[in-house]
Amino acid sequence: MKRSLLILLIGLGSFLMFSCYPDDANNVSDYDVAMTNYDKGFDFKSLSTFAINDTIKIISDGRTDTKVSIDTAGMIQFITKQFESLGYTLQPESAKAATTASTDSKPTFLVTVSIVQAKNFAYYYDNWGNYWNNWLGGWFGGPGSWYPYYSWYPVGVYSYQTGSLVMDMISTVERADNKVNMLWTGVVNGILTGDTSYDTQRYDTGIKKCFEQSPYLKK
Amino acid sequence: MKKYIFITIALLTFCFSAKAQMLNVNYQIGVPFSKTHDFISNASFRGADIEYHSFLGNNMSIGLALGWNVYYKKYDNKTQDFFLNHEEYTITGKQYRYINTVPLLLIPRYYFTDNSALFRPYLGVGVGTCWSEYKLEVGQYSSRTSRWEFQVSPEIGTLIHINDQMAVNLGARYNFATKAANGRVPQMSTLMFNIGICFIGSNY
Repeated sequence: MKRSLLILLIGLGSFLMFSCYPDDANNVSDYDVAMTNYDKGFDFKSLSTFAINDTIKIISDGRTDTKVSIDTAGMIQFITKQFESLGYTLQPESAKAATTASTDSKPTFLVTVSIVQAKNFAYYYDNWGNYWNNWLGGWFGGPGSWYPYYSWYPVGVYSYQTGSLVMDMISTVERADNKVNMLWTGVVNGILTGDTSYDTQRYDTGIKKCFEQSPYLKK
Repeated sequence: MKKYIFITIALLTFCFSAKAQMLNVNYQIGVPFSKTHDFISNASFRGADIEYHSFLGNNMSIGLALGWNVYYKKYDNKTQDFFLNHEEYTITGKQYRYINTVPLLLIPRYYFTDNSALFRPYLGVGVGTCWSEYKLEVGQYSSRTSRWEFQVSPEIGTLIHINDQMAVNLGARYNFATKAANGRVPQMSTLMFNIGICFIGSNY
């Protein structure tokens, strides 16, 4: 009698404990995070003008379908607005034609935006990415264009999960070691659900948070 | 034949020496303090332990306790710095924090009254170890550290006898566990309330 009562109690106890073990995330949006990393020694007040790509690079691990369920053009505009509200000036597209890689007309920094859509996207570049040497060669030495030219991947983090939107802020000042002069990276980490308005709204929130948590970003 | 006599005497001695014993199952509520409170400020209502006490004379017992307590707190929109791949990142998102503790204690106790009394108030000190796991999840990232910590737990409480074989246990225990893993498992301070039932077997 005593024995069975005890067994019952233990059984009941463990059932209660497992059944009320605290819950994890239930919604897709519960996994959304905004993460940022920056060059701690850099003075962001020294920047003034910037250029941004008019498209979002989709990193898709060789898949042909590279459509994403967010309004990419709208998102570029949204990100541009964020930088403008910090006091930075968007260098107009027309300035591009006039430029022949002269230092004066170069914007002070560039913004590139990409979305990682690969399933297991993992890579590693040392600090600011030696992979970028090739790319920068084309960029700075190229035919008078400082607009970002796509043959690249975001830099800095070992791996981003599927659905990550990566904003990189790169100085146009060349580094002595010829590596990418990365100033700031903002990552909106989430899962793309396929619902355009829902995803766009979630990513907009994430982008805003990236800027909110980076108070040093200011003209 | 001699052998059997010896075994019988040994068994009888054992029975008489282990005059009484008690099995105790407790529901536990844990209230975190200091470093534990910094990580999770919420009280834990998810906890239990099972204890075995062997009485030594009328006023003393020595017991063994094994427990499990879960602390949990969710932050809706928390900004915090993390190291990922040796780089410092600021991450904002929903945070889920957990502490799991599994204490294993040896508890000598002193009872102020003998087993004929209705109330048997006691004082004890648990000494032992505690496996503690600290877990933090944000987005798809998760950080988890677990270590064995050294634990000391002074306690006060009382048994309330229902009959010869059953009693209710009401007690409070202050758990202090040393830090481990260079502070990644911080020192633990919790006040634990025990409410339980005791099954007492006496071999008089």
